Amino acid sequence: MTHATSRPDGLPDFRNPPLNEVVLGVQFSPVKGYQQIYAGEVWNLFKPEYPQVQEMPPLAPEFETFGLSSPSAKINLVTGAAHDRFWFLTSTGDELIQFQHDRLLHNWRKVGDETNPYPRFEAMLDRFRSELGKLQAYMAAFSKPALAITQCEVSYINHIDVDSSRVADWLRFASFTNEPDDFALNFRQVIRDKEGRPSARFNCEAATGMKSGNRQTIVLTLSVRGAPNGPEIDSALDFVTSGRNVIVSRFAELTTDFAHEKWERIK
Amino acid sequence: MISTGASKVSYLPERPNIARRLLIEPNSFAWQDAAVARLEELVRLEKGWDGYSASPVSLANAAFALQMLEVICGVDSAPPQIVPGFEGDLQIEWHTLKGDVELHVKAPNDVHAWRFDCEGGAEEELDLRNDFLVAAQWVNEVSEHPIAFAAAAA
Amino acid sequence: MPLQPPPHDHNGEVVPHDHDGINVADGIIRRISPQHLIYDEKSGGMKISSAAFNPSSGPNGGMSVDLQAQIEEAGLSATQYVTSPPWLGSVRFTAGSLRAEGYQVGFDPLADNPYHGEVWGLFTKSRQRRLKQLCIWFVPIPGASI
Repeated sequence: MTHATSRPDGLPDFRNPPLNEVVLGVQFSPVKGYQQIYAGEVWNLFKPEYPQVQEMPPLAPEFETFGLSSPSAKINLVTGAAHDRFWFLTSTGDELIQFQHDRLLHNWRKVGDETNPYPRFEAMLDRFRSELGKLQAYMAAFSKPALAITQCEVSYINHIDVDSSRVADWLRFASFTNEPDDFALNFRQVIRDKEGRPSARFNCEAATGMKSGNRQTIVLTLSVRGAPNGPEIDSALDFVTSGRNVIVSRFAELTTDFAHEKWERIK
Repeated sequence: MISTGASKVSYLPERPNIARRLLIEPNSFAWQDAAVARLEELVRLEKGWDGYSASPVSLANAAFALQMLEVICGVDSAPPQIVPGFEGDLQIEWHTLKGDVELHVKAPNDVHAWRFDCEGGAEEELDLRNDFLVAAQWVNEVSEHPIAFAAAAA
Repeated sequence: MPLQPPPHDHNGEVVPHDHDGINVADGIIRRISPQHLIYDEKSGGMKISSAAFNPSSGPNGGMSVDLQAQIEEAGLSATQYVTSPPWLGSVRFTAGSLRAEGYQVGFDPLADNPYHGEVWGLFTKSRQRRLKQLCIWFVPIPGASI
């Protein structure tokens, strides 16, 4: 399968969705010979568009596995010689690349007064493809094959302004007789391929929060994670594209008609 | 769940000044503590620990192995034994009165599974990626208190 | 007699070969780390894991060994030489028994181990178990069987 560069026809669409952040990401086997001292050279690959940098603690390796039960363990990695995670940001901070020795992610997010428009998935995917290509070409100097991708993820993070309305007004899967002051819940589902084999995991997390101006918010995070069919970039982008399609479909299923009207559903 | 989102992050606690460690939460099964401790030991092995030129187990392989065990082992599963490979890989083994199971984690999504059943004398080998339902069945069969297995579980 | 240098590829790596200077009865020693001991309920004791008999990766990867005859020709004690670090055990094959199983036994001297050799061939699970049957303890690990 080749990853789509145009939006599938039947996919739900909204004129004004509560989308706050989108993340596309891959995890790859650490490249032999690469060391953190070279991180500045990696930044140089992206600096013209991403002139700002921040340092963050690293992310632990993550793998979706399938079997008798769903994995419950959270793995935190503590090491005396970790490669930090670097954020390379645009001048406005609305898009960023996250890089560490075994990860590359591309985020778009709302910033400031939150009027910056979402560039849409297809445009983000094109950028991510280009960024992966640059990183692969750079890493090829150390080792071949340069990037052996082991995991992919795509996440859509929505901030639903709820004011004084009920949770059930927005989410089909959460209904309370006595409206709680706050809540946090999550569920997961295995995604299967045409042969019925597990291929990825869909995660839904919903929790209340407060945004600036004392705005009551539900943060609804929908993610798809798993291993691509192959270790190369094209397979990763296929996974991310399929994941996006699952997320958008589930978003429409999990939210109410009332919500869809507020968000101006057009498909 | 550790998030990779820029706005929603789960920051790590302050890093102690020690060699590599894996922290896992929550520890709900008995085998987990021992498995985590063993994996921590293996990622800290010195280069040449085998008397030749072996490398320690890689962090990625250790993390993958732990996620694999999570979906293979139940509450009453026989505890796994973990031995290092020579190139950052590792092997997870069970050797009970009922049989043997060996899972060679060569790399994330690249596991060679082997088992021997003492009762029937049957031997089987498979290459697995990230679906370990078959391996879970094998481990269940060699464990002392096998559970009624739901074939559709994932 | 010192062994002839082994063949190398264009990258300078030793290529798999069967060295005719290594005789049939020569001892081929494989160091065994206590990291490779596992408990087997069937025998009720510790045994060597099959993982101890894996080759290294790479196109020319083989299973590292020490060549007993070469160590002793240099006037060294083989048992002392292979017990490094001091907590290692080791097992012994003969070159002939390995060759009879289809393996190549070659010479691969290293800067820090001039008596280093390699065994090339198939290392499937059944072949690993067969290797365990072929060898005997050279420097036993107390309390462990092969």
